[in-house]
Amino acid sequence: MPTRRILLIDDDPIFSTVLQHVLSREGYQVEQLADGRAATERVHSETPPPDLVVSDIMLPFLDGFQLVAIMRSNTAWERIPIVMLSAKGQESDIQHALDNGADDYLVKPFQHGELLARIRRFLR
Amino acid sequence: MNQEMAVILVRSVEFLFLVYFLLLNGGLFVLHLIAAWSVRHYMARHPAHGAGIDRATYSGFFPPIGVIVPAFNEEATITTTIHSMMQLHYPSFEVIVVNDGSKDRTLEVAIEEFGLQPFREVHRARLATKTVRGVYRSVRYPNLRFIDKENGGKADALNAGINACVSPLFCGVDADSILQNDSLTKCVLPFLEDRRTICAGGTIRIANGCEVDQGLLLRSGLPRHPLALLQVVEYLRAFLFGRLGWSPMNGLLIVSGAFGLFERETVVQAGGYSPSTIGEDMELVVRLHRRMIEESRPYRITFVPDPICWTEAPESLKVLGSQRTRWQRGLAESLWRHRSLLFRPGSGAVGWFSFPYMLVFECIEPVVEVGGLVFFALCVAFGLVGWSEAVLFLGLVQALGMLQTVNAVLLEEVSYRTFPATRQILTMIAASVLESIGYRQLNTWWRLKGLVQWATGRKHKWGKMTRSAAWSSGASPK
Amino acid sequence: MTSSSESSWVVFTGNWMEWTARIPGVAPGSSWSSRMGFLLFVGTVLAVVLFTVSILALHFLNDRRLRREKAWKDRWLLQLLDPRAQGKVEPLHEAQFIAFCDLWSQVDGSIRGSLREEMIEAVRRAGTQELCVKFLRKGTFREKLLAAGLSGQLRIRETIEHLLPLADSPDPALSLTACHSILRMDADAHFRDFLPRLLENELWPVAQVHEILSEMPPELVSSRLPSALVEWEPAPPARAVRMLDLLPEDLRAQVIERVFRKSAEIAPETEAALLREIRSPEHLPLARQALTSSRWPVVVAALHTMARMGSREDVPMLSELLGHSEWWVRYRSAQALVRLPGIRPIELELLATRHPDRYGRDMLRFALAEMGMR
Repeated sequence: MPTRRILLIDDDPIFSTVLQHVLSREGYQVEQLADGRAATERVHSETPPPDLVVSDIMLPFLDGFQLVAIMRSNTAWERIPIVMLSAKGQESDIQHALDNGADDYLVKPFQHGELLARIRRFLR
Repeated sequence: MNQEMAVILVRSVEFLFLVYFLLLNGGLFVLHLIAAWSVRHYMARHPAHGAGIDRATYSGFFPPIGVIVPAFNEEATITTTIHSMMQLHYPSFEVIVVNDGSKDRTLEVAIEEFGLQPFREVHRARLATKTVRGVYRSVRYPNLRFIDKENGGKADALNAGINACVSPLFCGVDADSILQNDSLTKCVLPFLEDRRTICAGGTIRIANGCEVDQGLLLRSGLPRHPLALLQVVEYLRAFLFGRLGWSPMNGLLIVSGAFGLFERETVVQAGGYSPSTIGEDMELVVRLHRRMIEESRPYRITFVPDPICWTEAPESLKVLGSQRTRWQRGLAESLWRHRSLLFRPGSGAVGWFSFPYMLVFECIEPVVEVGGLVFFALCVAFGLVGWSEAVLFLGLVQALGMLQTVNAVLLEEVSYRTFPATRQILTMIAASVLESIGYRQLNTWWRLKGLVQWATGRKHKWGKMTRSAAWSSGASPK
Repeated sequence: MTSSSESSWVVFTGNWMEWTARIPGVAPGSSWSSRMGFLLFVGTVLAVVLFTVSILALHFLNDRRLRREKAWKDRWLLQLLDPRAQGKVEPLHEAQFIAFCDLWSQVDGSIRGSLREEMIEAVRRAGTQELCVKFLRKGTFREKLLAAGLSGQLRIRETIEHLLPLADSPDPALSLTACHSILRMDADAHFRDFLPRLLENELWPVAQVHEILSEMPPELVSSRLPSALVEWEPAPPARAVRMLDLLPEDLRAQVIERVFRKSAEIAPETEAALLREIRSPEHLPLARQALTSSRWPVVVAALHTMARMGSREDVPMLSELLGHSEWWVRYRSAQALVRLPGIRPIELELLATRHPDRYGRDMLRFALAEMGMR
């Protein structure tokens, strides 16, 4: 099986590093982006889409909701699973994200076993 | 005999000018010392990299904040402004945009972009304002409200926002202010650390030359335009010494209108912003001081040295001149309106230090400066003062001015390092040296004009500030 | 002025003139004051130069320090993340304590579970115990606060004796952090003492207290919280009632019933909090009855419950409340109406056009729009 590629979009460098570490330890290939605009450019670029997207909701320039809409309107990205990350206490955002086309969500701080289990479920 | 009298007269006037000069510089020296001390003190408590810890230690203690954004003819920028406000990192805040009877499509643009829905909402108008035409809520962002009202000026719009605000703290923000996502978290700390705090102001920096996108600061940078560059160092100096120096003794008289956090209830009781003044931001703070002192209520008005708000500086002499003229008018007006604070028993540092200092060394300073120059020029012309002495004195004045600004750059280096590259440091030092030759004199002239306008009570002709009539950036650095 | 002081003045000025004459640049015939001015001028210019030089020196020193600190932080982050580096953790120095706490708080805010436990193990080996005890005993306010938080996260039990006095500190952030840390380390011994304070102290944010209690062993909370609430005289404060959702359903129902039955005169805040905690259908009549209360916050709380558990038979009552004079009541009843199970969109549309109260119609329309967007 080829290495699975995950696109990670989060503007907090430490959180990204931790998450990236956890994922690469599991053998995933991780690509990191820090804001909504870079992510949009990535979607519109020629580079083939990743196997899964993990994105924060609060992002500079474009928030996670807008990002999901952009990905869902692009044929290549239409079916890529998207896992949203949300800060604790903003559970109303989650419903909104799921309604917008995200597939799953996780609350920060995340339980790393739980995250990995969900990712495995999507990449099976 | 007559000649002797004249010489004595001239000498005593000369002496008075010298005393003024010494007191002014002595006062500045003390302010510099206090500022240096408080930067050290503040940095020990809030290291530049410590925002993460503050979020963690005070999590749960952060009170809700209402961010009030008055807007007038902002159709071009309103979406960016609101988007940038929605991106603030703060546990609980709501954004209240007040459309002050814009003549353009500000309202329509916002309705379209944010899915605003008319919302019949009745709130108690505790502060009198012009008629509110409607309240809108966004179905997309639960914490966004939009108030549409008839034109009444910036103070009036802020008051309407305060009426609609339900949070215990509110933050008045200029629509063109550029914030950082941790601006609220930093500015709220004084309220958490000292329960007596009723108001906290933050450091304003110049946004020209910075990389800004959609209202968020990407990277700080220095402007290319010389006029803006001079304002960068001017703001550095003014904020460190004009504000930080006064804060530890609770004598802070100015909180910039571009970004200031207030306890809502206290402001409402004090009557809100005053629509009949030019410098509504300064007037409110002086009034808060006065009320607290009159009620003998313990209180704190604190200055946060962290740079938290960035504002666009005028790059044309005409606009800059009218801005400075207006600030000086506002200063004179606020001080005059609350003159009862002067040497009032029990008024502490406000009545005994900062108010008199502001009056003597800020408000009437341009008169003394221009008067002094004219006087010395006459003295030289009549041979009462030697050329060399006159040149020496002028040189001393310039050198002291440079020293202040260079000291500001020094303090910046030990604290926030907003402009970290070596080239930027050199540029700033060069600008500090140049600032006291030409720019300051120009400023004195504008301020004198403002003072004269205030004194003659002439209806101030609104300069063509960036956007419109009663609307102008209130980020006075002085 | 006495003659002696006059003569010393003459001596002084004489020396002054003599002395300053030797300085290059001073005109031989210039006056006393202009020489003074000249010196001041030279001094100021020198100061400007000195300041400039020190800015540059500081600048380069700071650059180097920041580079090192960054390298240090990156190294530490890797040490934390890589549990295989066991035994090779570099010791933590006093000067790095604040920077370390900053890093740790961010890492700690990112992850839960076994990886976090491994990290804690790594940090403990870096000598954090000694540092925490030291700063708790004699640190600045900030150091105490950080050390108190870190002690709890790392479960450094040696610090409990130093944390106990801090839990009585007048500063709410420090006292709550200390209390939290103590409970994290030894809940069995201290839960009983701290529970009343947690429920009562107005300065401690409810959300934070709720979070702390939710971390406690459930059996401890189940055994202590119900009696604390029921035995409160005359009735528990609203903030204490909000902790009810930490109890299992049967216990919660019992407490709600007993508090309602015990006192006829419950403060509206408490009553509202109790109503919001209703989860079991048998208590629904309590909420229905509260809809007619004269105190609007109580009605709002009851409407919260109706939005969760109401049924079609509540439509007339909710529709009547849609015309209430209080904004919040209208808002909540509209929210409850659009969420009622089994209600058809056409019914709501009808209500939104035919309701007698125009404010009520607006509110329902907004609630519908909000639902439509979601």
